[in-house]
Amino acid sequence: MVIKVDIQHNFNFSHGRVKVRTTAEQEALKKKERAEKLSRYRIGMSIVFKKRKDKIYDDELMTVTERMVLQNPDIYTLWNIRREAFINNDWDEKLLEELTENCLKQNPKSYWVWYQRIWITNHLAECNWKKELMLCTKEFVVQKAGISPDEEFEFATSKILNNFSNYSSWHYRSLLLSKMFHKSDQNDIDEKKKQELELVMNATFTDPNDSSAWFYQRWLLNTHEFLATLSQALIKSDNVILFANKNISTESIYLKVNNKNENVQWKSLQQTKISKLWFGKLKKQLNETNNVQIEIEGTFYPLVCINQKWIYKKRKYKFCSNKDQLLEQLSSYKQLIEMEPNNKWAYLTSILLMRKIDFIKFYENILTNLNVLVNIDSLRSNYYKDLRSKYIIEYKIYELWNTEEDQEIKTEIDLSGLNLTTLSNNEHLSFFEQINLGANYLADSLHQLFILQSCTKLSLSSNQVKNLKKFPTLQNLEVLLLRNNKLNNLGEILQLLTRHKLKLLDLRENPICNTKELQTDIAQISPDLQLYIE
Amino acid sequence: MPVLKHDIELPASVPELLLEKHANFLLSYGTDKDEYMYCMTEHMRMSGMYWGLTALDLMGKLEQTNRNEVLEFIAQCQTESGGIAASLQHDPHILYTLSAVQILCIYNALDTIDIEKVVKYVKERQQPDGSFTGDIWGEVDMRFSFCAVATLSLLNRLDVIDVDKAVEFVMKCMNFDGGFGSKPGAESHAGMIYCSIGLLSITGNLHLVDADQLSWWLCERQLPSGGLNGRPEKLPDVCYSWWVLSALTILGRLHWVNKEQLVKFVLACQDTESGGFSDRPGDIADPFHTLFGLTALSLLNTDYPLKKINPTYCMPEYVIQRLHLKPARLDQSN
Ligand SMILES: [Zn+2]
Repeated sequence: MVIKVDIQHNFNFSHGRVKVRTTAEQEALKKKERAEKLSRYRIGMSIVFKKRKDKIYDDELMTVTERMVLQNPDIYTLWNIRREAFINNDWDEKLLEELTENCLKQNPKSYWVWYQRIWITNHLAECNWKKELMLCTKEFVVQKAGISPDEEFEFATSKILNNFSNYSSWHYRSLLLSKMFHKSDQNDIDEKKKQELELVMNATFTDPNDSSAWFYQRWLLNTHEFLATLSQALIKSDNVILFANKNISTESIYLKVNNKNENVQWKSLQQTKISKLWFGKLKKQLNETNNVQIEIEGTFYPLVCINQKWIYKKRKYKFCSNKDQLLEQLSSYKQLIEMEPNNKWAYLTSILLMRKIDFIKFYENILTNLNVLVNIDSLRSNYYKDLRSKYIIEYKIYELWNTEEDQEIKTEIDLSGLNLTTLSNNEHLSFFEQINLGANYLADSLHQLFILQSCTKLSLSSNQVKNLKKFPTLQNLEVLLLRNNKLNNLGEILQLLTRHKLKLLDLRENPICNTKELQTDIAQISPDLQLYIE
Repeated sequence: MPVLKHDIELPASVPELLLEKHANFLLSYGTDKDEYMYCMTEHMRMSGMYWGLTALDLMGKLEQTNRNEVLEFIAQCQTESGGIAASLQHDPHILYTLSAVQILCIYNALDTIDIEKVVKYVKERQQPDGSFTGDIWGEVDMRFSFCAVATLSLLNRLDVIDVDKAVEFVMKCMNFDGGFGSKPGAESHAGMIYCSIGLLSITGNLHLVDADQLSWWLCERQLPSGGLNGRPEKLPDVCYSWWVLSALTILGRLHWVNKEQLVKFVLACQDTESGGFSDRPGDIADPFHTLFGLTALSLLNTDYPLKKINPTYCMPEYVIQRLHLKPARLDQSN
């Protein structure tokens, strides 16, 4: 398929060509014009193809191709032929340059013309780089022109100050800033980010309905973590689960027992080479006196042993270095909301700020803002509902952590009745063994359950589940509660049973309970299953 | 109410889906080989045929197309290099090579061309950094990466290229907003995002993207008119219904756009007289936007009598299943 995007492809599959009504006379005139154009096109093409075949790269070829590409720059073969001519002859280079410039003025978005320009530029010994820079600030040009990143950043700033509502400028700025981040230490990064947050806030206030700056702001408010660190690890009998803040490969993970590397068979959830979550199998069980550590990218994390389990857990909230600034911005956006009560961006940014300043403290306000967004930005209401679910789960996990003993990882969580629409990808859920997801809206999110790899007891009661086609295989699952759903397909249930070694299945208050064969068919597959039906 | 700076207003009444008219629009396209529009699009003929045939297949009208004529044309367009040209006498290019292979898969007629030579042509396009050139002239672009990987996977020959390197190049094109541009450093664009996500879907590497971040950017493409644009602050266009929706579908977050509003926008872009879809209401219809209007409706899973479209390959789902291909999607657990 040709991916023709946002370019005036050519003059008929074009964008933005209005269909106009014409009289019979106009129609006849148009027809005549077109017939002439078409015959000119055909004559032109046949001349060009003939000359190419005979390898005659003369003036006429250049004139004809020039005329034709100026009319339609997307006849890509003509550009190829011009290149052949360029190579075969010692053509006046200036001529070729002029042509693309004219062509670009008429068709600034034609990929073919842009490439011709780049191709020629690459081949020309001399080039007027300043002129190029005026025409377009492509990185490639900048590289050749030898401009320093700092100078470039200044240039970008001046461009943004001229016109805040310019997505390209923000994009460009993000590139430069990312480059600077790579070379700086954390303090410099924090300082630079502070300045940027000020700049971008000014931009959002200048034109609050222009979306460009808000995207850049959200990026700045993200945490940019460069180092992989361990968030949680658990070893139980010969099983290991570990969860890092970033995708890592098994090559950077070592399990050390008494300072010696232990052999572990690692598996990621989808057999990917890198992952945040890793599941390992040990060759032998550990014994309690062992000193156990996990090494990730050179950092060591000691595990503590409790009741035949080895655990590591990180339970600190992220430190926020510019809390005062963020609080100040939060109050500015509060004022903006007062002035423009329907500005969704101000609500969303407030959420992001509160989340960064103190998620736990602002939790209720965050949910309130999200509920407002569901209403004022109704096109994306499902997005906000999913985001709300993500925050709710995170909060519930934090709450649970507060009840944890020092050397304990809780394995049971109640997430019922929370209006959850998605499980998102919360890796912490992989550690829980008993999970109550009852009374939510997860019917369309069953595929996400695959994250619940340690789960032995799962409730999905009252979720309006209609089918189980996307229910993943959970190896440890023993108890599954599906009470009060809309299940009516026996085949799906039997299929689920063949994939699991269930001890108990609750199907009460489902249409399927009226099926005659239900009990006998299930008994054939799982004779020892405790089955609850109505 | 803020002014609609970069949006349009939908007409008061939106027509029903006019399938008969669209089928006729596409079937009559090219029946007159001397017709102006047809001739002047010679340099993109192969893709034009792919757009039309895929759309017709979705509407259950593939039998009414001239299979033999199409196959013969494709065979003639394969050049010595192995690559396939848009049309006779034009040069081979990876864009048209994919279109040709897609058509042949739909017609179940891959033996029409020399497959080994196609494989060789595509393999030769890969650069040391993993990227792909469109043809011998060296232009590098994300579209070409997608075309290469899609072509080879349809031919079940992905093994001939360095897939890891190809993926590495895609990841170098990722931007601050989670989207992808045409090359490293280039701005995010819905079309390029489709190509990148498509490539990652084919090669099983969707875990490399931040699906929440990218999908948010994608659902922000929806404008009050219901239509989708390809970048912030640009006008909506039917073809973005495809680039944006296919990526959202693969990322398992199609429900983040408002389906009813989008369907309304797409339907408003129909030409109620001559059939076909245009980019925006009231513009001239063409096969390109006609395909993407129909694929959008197919993805949105409305009750229209349209075949299912595969979001990764932009080909009917039954064809992808016939080829035993299973491009990854995040709304499926395995
Ligand atoms: Zn378009």
